[in-house]
Amino acid sequence: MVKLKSNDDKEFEVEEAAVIQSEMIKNMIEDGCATSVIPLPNIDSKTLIKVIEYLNKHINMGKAAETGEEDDLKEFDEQFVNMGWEELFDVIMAANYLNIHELMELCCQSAADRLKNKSVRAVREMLKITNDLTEEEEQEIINDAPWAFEGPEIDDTVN
Amino acid sequence: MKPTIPQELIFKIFSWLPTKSLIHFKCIFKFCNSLVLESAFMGVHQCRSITHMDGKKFFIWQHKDYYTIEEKEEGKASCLRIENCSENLLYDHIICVNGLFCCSMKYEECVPIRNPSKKVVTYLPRFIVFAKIGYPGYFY
Repeated sequence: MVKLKSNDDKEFEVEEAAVIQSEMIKNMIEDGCATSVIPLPNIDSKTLIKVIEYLNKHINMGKAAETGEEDDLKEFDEQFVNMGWEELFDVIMAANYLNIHELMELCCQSAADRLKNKSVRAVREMLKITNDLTEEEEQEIINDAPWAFEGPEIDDTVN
Repeated sequence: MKPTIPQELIFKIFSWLPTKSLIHFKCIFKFCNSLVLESAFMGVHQCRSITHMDGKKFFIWQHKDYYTIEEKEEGKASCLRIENCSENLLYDHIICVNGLFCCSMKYEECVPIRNPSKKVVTYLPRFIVFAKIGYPGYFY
């Protein structure tokens, strides 16, 4: 078992087979740096619980193909990303920090699905980006491809 | 206050976006504007467009205009017009590789390679048509 500690000082025990899906922790274990508790200063306990839930479910991913549990896993993934935007954003940041490739792919795809029809203003707010383009530069981009800025599907909400 | 999103994460998330959203999001900030034209990003994006079940691309011609079709779910698709690509030609051959479309007329000497994401057309060097072989094949 490997012990992980969130930035709000909560400890979680995870099976080694599950936790090594994180390239970062796998490297730490291989280098002998994971003898006691691994502190994760960038991840809060709420997000870490989600990540561990994913790791535990995907522990036997290789076996799933043999036992026909692929559908079960797919269903789990669909349910897993069914969370609020802020929560998903935190899981993406954690998955990126821990370097968990499959979780990254799953969450980034879900994030893109939510962003794709958003307005520019909504995306800036959702990704916490400050606009650094001048009005002229912005207008030039719009003039370049006006068709990309039209359409009834463009959505200005931020969730 | 939450930390700002690192640029590598924008890269990773945006690589899943359909082309229209990418062009639209060039307006978000300078990084997005340059990202869309970056070759590393285009590579990842096109690769996904072909392999990703939501992004299967087709290339069609209708009423003098060319479109890419992105298949979303079964039976549903979104249509995107390719600008500056409206010559009234009916192509004999259309082949799609990694998001690029190669369309040619039987007797056209220079074969155009079209990139609908970038809206760029590149012409292959002239090739010689051997009468006995008939129509030249494509190699990629």
